[in-house]
Amino acid sequence: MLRKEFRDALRRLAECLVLLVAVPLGYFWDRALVHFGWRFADIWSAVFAVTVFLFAAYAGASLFLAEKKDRALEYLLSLPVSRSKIVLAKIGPRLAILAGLWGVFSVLGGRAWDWSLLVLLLFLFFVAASLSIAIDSVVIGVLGVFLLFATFSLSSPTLTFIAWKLGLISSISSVWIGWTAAGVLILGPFAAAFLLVIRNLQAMPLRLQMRPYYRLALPSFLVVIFLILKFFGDYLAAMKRMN
Amino acid sequence: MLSIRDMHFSYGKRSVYSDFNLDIPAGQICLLTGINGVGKSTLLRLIAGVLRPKKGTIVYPETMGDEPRRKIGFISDQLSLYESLTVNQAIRFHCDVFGLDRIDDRLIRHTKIEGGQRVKELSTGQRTILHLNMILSLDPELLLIDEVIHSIDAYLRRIFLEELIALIARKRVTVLMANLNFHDIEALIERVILLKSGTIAVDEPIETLKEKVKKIIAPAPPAGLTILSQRAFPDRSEFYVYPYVENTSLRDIEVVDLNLTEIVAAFIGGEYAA
Amino acid sequence: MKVPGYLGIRIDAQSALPVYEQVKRAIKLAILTGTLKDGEAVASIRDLAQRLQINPNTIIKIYSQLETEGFLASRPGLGYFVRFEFARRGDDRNTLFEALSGDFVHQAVELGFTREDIQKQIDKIFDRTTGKPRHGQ
Repeated sequence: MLRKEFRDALRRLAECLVLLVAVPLGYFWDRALVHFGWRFADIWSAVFAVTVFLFAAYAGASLFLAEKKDRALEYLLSLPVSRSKIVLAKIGPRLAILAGLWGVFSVLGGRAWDWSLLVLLLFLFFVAASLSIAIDSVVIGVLGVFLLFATFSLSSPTLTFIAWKLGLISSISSVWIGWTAAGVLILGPFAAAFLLVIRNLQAMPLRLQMRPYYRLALPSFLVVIFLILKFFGDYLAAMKRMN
Repeated sequence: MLSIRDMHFSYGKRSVYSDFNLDIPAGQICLLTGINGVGKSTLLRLIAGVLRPKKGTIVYPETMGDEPRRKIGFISDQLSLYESLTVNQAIRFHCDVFGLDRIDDRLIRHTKIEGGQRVKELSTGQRTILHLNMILSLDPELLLIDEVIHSIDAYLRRIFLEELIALIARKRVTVLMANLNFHDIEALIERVILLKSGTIAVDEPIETLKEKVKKIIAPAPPAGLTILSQRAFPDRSEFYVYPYVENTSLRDIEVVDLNLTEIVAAFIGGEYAA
Repeated sequence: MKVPGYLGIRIDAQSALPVYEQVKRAIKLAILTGTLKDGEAVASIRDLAQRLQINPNTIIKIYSQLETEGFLASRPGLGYFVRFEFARRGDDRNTLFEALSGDFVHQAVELGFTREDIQKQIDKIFDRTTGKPRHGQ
């Protein structure tokens, strides 16, 4: 089973690496752009960065792509493999390749093990994985990931601000509490919903198995949106006053 | 003994089974039947483990060990497989998961399936035989077969039945078949289970059923016999009765024996008339 | 080991007679008429089940009943063989004859034939049958 999952994960990578086919084109582009002061290495680096981010999201979102496309969910569940082993067999190879990409990216970019980047990539991956069951179209899944990421970006300063307002932290610029709270409020419920669905995954239409998402993930997401709408403006005002 | 105890299952809001109980002794060949949508496929899926009961338990025979799915051969009407894989890849994947080195693929070769063909390119008949071959290689203790026998051509059907019979002759395998048609398998069946609205309406050995369900041709409903359904004709009517008890005081009637198809139709006919 | 063919058996799913009884009668008939000879192997359980497309457990039941009734003997690992005591042939012949003729006459009467019709028909068939050497079926 692991072998097939590795093959699938590599296929997802290949789909992302199609982007790198654009690199020779980028080179010729570079010639044209050279008088703007841009270098080929910069373009290539940017494209590679996008590829890595895209792969993180895509690898997560496509966790059950083969089963959905091939109508193989029933077959998969009839095999003598526990639900948890199935998920681990799927996540393992994808994470391994993601870690490999991160390593290459870090080394080539001279960044020497950029851990915060790794955390970010893992976050993208797990958010995407959490959505992979709920959303049928992988394209929408990837878009959903970036939507969630955008929400995360807006919510962490908002939550930092709220914490500051509540007197939990002394300075509005210590962002870690916002990041942690945002991570927990956004990723936590989705991950929990995902695990609950997986634990009881059945060979029936997925839309009939989505209750954990409606009960856990959706309410907390709406709460975060509400907080952003209410307090982000105040946060911006406070930041302006500080500068 | 395969035991289903107090089982509840629903698709979303639609309840299919509620407080459902069923015992199947090892080695029994059972037919599961009923109208379309009554839940035959659902029951097979629950036993196969691809669906999970909301409440209640399914207990497998001890001979099937800790992981019953290892010993269950399930052929569903979906014929679910990784369709993008080639036949060879699909078989290798299957062997991998079940820990087999290779499978005896003479059935597949017999039906001219090529290893390089993708699963989605196979015809229904070929796909059914592929499933059957894969399942037989696991030496199953429990076979769950959803109405696939009659979606394939007569030649493949005979091959399918011959393999099934060979397996039954070789070991004490429990077989549960969900069928709407049973002309070909009538002589294989030992026990008939008729489902109706999530409950078991009829559960009898086939020989008993043939003794107890008769067609009575008479001008009027025969007294003292329970009528399942009836058909009226200009000159006479046909009454399907269960259980039939011989009553020599009834005059001017004709008692006709029925085959399994007619018996099940009699039960189901009553359902539609009610 | 010669394995007999179908023995002319055709399963009638609609008959009042259960499947196992139909097959059992056919095998008995074959033994009594000498189509299956003493010492000859009968078809293996799997083989007969496959040819007739019936449950192998039914065949097991038939063979073991025929063994109890003294028509077959089983040799472990080798299957079932005909082992028929010629002395008993009389009783069994009569029983089978009763059963066969009973079915025939009953159905002929239902079709509306008279005693004369039936007797004439029997004569006709008898002449036709005995006019040629006996063939196994």
